[in-house]
Amino acid sequence: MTSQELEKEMKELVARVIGISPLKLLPDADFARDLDVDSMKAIEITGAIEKTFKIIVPEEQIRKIRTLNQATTLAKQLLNLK
Amino acid sequence: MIWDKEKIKSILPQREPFLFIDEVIEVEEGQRVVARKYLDPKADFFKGHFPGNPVMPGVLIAEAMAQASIILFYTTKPAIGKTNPDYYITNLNATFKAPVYPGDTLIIEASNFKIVDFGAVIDAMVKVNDKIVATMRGSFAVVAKKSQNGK
Repeated sequence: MTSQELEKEMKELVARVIGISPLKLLPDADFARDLDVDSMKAIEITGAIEKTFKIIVPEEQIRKIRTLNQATTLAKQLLNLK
Repeated sequence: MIWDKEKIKSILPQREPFLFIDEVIEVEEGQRVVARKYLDPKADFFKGHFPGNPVMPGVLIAEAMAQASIILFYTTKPAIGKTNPDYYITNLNATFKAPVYPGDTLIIEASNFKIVDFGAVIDAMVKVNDKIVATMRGSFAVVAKKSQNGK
């Protein structure tokens, strides 16, 4: 998987879990403030990322991730993608 | 049988007549639990839902899946579960596929979608006679119980 493919899939995945169009999901939109993502929805997003990309997201990261960009950066790190 | 009702009562805060797990028959710690509930035809909810046409309310089937989900949380996070925290349902997305009648036995399966210290997202389903009658994705928050004086 390339970095670009990951970015596209992450956007679609997060948008699907949140329940909005990927077109409306801006990379730096704040999950809580702009997208009404609460801590429970953050757990669901994390689970979806783990199952899709076969990675384990450290639990302490869940509350720190505030945007799609941050989530994508973390997924890249866990997959060793540049 | 792996867990009897006494063990279940040590984990779930619910009690009769709102306890919808009789026994836990399979446990894959942190991954999946399977539980059983026999539906006594004399259960009160059948009297009113509906007179002359008793059917288990879907909301109670969802409750059974939620209770199995709490047990799964306990197997995944036993140190937290043993503190008897409060479990607050935050979202339920359930689908009911077939009616459930007095005398049926529910086989309730809960699977780990994602469980963390402060909450869980669980996929669950219920079978009767090997037929899926309900599915659900549910989430709940796990909160340390407040002491009696509110502190």
